[in-house]
Amino acid sequence: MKVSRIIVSMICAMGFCAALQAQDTLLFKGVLSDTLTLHNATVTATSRTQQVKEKAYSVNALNINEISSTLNSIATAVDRSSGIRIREEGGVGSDFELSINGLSGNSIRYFLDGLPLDAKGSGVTLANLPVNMIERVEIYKGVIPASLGSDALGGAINIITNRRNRNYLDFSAGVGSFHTAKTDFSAQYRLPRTGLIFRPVISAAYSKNDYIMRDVKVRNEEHTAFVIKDLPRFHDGYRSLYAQLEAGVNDRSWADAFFVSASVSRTDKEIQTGATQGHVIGMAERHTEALNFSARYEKNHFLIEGLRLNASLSQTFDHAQTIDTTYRRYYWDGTWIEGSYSEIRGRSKMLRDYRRPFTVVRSNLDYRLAEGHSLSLNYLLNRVGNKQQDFWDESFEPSDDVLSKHVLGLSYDQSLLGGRLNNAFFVKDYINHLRIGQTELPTTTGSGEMAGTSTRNYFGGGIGTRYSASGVLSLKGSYEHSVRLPVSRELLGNGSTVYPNVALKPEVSENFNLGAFGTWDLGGGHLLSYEANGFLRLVDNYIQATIYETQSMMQYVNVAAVHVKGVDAEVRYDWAGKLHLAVNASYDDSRDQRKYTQSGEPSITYRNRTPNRPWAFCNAEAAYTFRHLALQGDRLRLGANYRWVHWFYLTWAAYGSASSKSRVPTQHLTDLSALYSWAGGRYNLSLECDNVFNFLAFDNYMLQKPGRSFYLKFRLFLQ
Amino acid sequence: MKNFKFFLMAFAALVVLALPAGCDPTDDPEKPVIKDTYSFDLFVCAVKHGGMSKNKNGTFVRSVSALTADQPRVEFTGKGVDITENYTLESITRGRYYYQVPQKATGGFVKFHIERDASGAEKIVEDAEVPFKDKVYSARKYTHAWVGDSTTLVIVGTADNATKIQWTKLSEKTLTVESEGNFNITLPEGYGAFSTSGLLTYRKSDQKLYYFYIAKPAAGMGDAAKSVTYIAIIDPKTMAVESNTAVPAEIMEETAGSAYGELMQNMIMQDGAGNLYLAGLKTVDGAEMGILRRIKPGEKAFDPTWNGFPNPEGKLLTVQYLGYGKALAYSRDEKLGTKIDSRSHF
Repeated sequence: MKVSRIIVSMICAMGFCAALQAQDTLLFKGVLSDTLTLHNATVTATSRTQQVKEKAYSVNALNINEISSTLNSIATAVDRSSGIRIREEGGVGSDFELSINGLSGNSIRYFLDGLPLDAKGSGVTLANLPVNMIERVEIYKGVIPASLGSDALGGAINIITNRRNRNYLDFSAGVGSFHTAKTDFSAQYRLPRTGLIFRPVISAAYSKNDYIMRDVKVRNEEHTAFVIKDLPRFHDGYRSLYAQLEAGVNDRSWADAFFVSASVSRTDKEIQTGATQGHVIGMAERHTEALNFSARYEKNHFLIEGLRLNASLSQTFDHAQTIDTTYRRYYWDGTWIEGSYSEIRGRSKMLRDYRRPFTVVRSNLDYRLAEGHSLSLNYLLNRVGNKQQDFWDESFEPSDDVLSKHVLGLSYDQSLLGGRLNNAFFVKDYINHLRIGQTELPTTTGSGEMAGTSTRNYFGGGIGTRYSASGVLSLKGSYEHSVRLPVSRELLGNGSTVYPNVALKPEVSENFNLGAFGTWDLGGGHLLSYEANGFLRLVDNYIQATIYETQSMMQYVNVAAVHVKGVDAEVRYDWAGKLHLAVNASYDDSRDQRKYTQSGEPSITYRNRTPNRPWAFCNAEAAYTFRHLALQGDRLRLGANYRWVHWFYLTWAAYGSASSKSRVPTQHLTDLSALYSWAGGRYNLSLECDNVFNFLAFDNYMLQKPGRSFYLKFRLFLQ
Repeated sequence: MKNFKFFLMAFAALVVLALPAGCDPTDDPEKPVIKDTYSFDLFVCAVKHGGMSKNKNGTFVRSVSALTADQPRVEFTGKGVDITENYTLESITRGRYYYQVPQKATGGFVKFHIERDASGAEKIVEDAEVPFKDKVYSARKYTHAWVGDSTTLVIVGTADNATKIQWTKLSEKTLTVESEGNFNITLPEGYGAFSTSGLLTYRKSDQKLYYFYIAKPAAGMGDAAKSVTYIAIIDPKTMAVESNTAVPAEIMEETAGSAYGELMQNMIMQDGAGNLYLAGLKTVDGAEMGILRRIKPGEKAFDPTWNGFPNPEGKLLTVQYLGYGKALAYSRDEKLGTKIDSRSHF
């Protein structure tokens, strides 16, 4: 019923807009007969980043190229955006959870050039993707365009790689605190005779992550009492390697672009803690490796005039291993006692092996009906297998689960009133096919309830609109009835710290966004940009991570109803390319909306704020650029960034006295940076100091994060 | 009404009788003395049951002076101490004190009690915290007994993935580890694991420790009919196992609790006459039903002719001796469901 109302509304809106278009055409014809004599002309154009921001959707766009000389990971840049919060479990390479407007990590989908980022391997994340290969990051909040063909509910992050026209070489190397080293290399070379283009990428990172853990309890020398000490982490090493080669052609008669690529990735991670800090681990490890082959094809006027095809195919062979084969109980000084159970799960030893073949097929047909009107048909297939076996635990039954998702989307985009009014209408069909083979811990994982196969079908759809009165002020709004199918991590676990829950139901949400934005050129090189957004998410079967504290494991479960509403805003000021100031703030209010429990009793957490999640945070940034200091074409950019996160409770807010409640304290984190470039940006040297005041920082369930740290990076860019 | 239902819904609304000044642990169990000064610590888990590692919503404690019907409603909104991050709901209790392997997983034992400040707000006061010495225990997965006039606490649990049984003696006052070791008990042929904690008790009449444990085909929950229950009788001075006897299946297939000791429920009781009672399980028509067996004074095995819980409708959840020849027992009704959140558990 809801979907048919959406379709009827869309048809009425389309008719209304068609009438507007007719009027618009008449006006345009009236202007054609006039002529103008130009004397001085200033041509301005919107950047690709700005074009993305001006879409009908609620979206942030980050230009990574501008800041890649100082950036260690994409995650850092994304974390500073309004409405975004990244919560990490430790230092380099640690697991993290990203939320957009209050909806947490697995409601968010990650894409690399429109393909799921997972296709590069389970070990490739926002935190270790080579910075040099990225042009920009598009962050969609709440309402996702059908062109991404996704079931994201909270938002999507689409990472767009560099597609420069000219040959280039981009190399960077850096060293930093806690025995950290990183290097990135990316390049493009076009064979002059054939026009064949090669784009290699290589990235490697290493960190010991031996930052100091403060005020931890360890045994005294006689092992008769506890003493409090500050001690370095001792089993948190991280290593990652990523290599990719893409080859193809542009601008052929049969293809605007055709590229094939192959990539390999590998990560090795020592595990230092469970989900809580008191649970110290000293031997368990996790390894991942992946091999990916993909191809993409783009063609304008495919088969007929006005029809554009954009198709991709990807096959990944992903392999992960969790090694948990000792019964030891560690303390923060590295000493241990022979224990009773394994380190991670608190059960028997395991050497768990996961093979997850991952297939993605994506196609997008875009047809231009008329000037300012286009129709798009999108299809995304996402199939992941989960073959598990254990090389240590002989009682473990090998299993083979399969999760297939098909997402079909149809959208209609229109641009009216000379581009001042943009509308987008879309419908989506989600088909989820699950085949469960695993039987371990059936009461915990739900595999006892969900044996066999199941196929479910869901519908969604929405609308987005943007009206620009002028460059100074634009308004936009969007709505989507969205379904979010559980990801493989939620359904099938991660083999180490996350239990499977194969009985998870999809999240269903009504997402609303309303915003205003604009840019005001004050003259004299002063530019002011601003935006404010309000959002409302009405989520049913909200999937929430919960901690099994006594085993330091996590599991994702359905919570009946959660409403999230909030606002985020950002103001940026730039002066003549020298001074840059920016501040953004976000507030979200996530409340439990279950009035009654399943047994019909009143729920005592009704309208309580959802626990263990930050709900108010802000970022402030200031930078000044000096030019022509010592060398021709040089510049020195000094910057500072401040992050504030309001304290939040770990349990339901209503119960227990405030003074006794467990909470993550307010966080104040200040970072400083200096970037010196010369020879027109060919050579770049940057120095960063994160958490300059050495604030005791926490995240995810009171896990301590690194204190003050330094990072030195050199970057060479030839074009 | 809402808060009354709140207590029901929380399931693990466990009333722990803490008698700081009003009860001497050596009182005659046949005739407990009612004294004037009491304090009751109420442990409640929000939303769902708190034990068995499924507490996702918080554990809170209020301390009150009386539980009579004329008392005001006990509110938890904005009141009570939140112990979720640091302590488990399950605990060894004696008088006003709690002894446990805490939630905060510092790697040791803790002793604490609950006080009220001048404003009446509850707070936790830690009396002792000591690290493990050579034996490691996981939160909730141990059983216990008091020996030596209650000056020594004996903790027992399994090790090496439930293939060995270990013990630790602690000083009640300071929690100092006095001695540790493994019981000389090995898995019988054809069985893969011991029960996680087993059940331990000190029997005054013969001054021995009785340890009830299960040998199972494999670790984890399984079919009770395939397990064997054992009684190990131990000298508390030397911790040597003096006898280790299998219980015939027709007497009892498994003890009623086997993984979390008696930290939240009581499965063993003793009366003043020297009878020792144990709640257990027996399969009846494919369903696990409760059974209550007794070891008579001077005996070391269950009386096969005596069953204190005939015609069961479900498993026994807890048994307590009240004195004066009376006992209190809770059992569930299988017909109301057997899942962890079923009404049968309220």
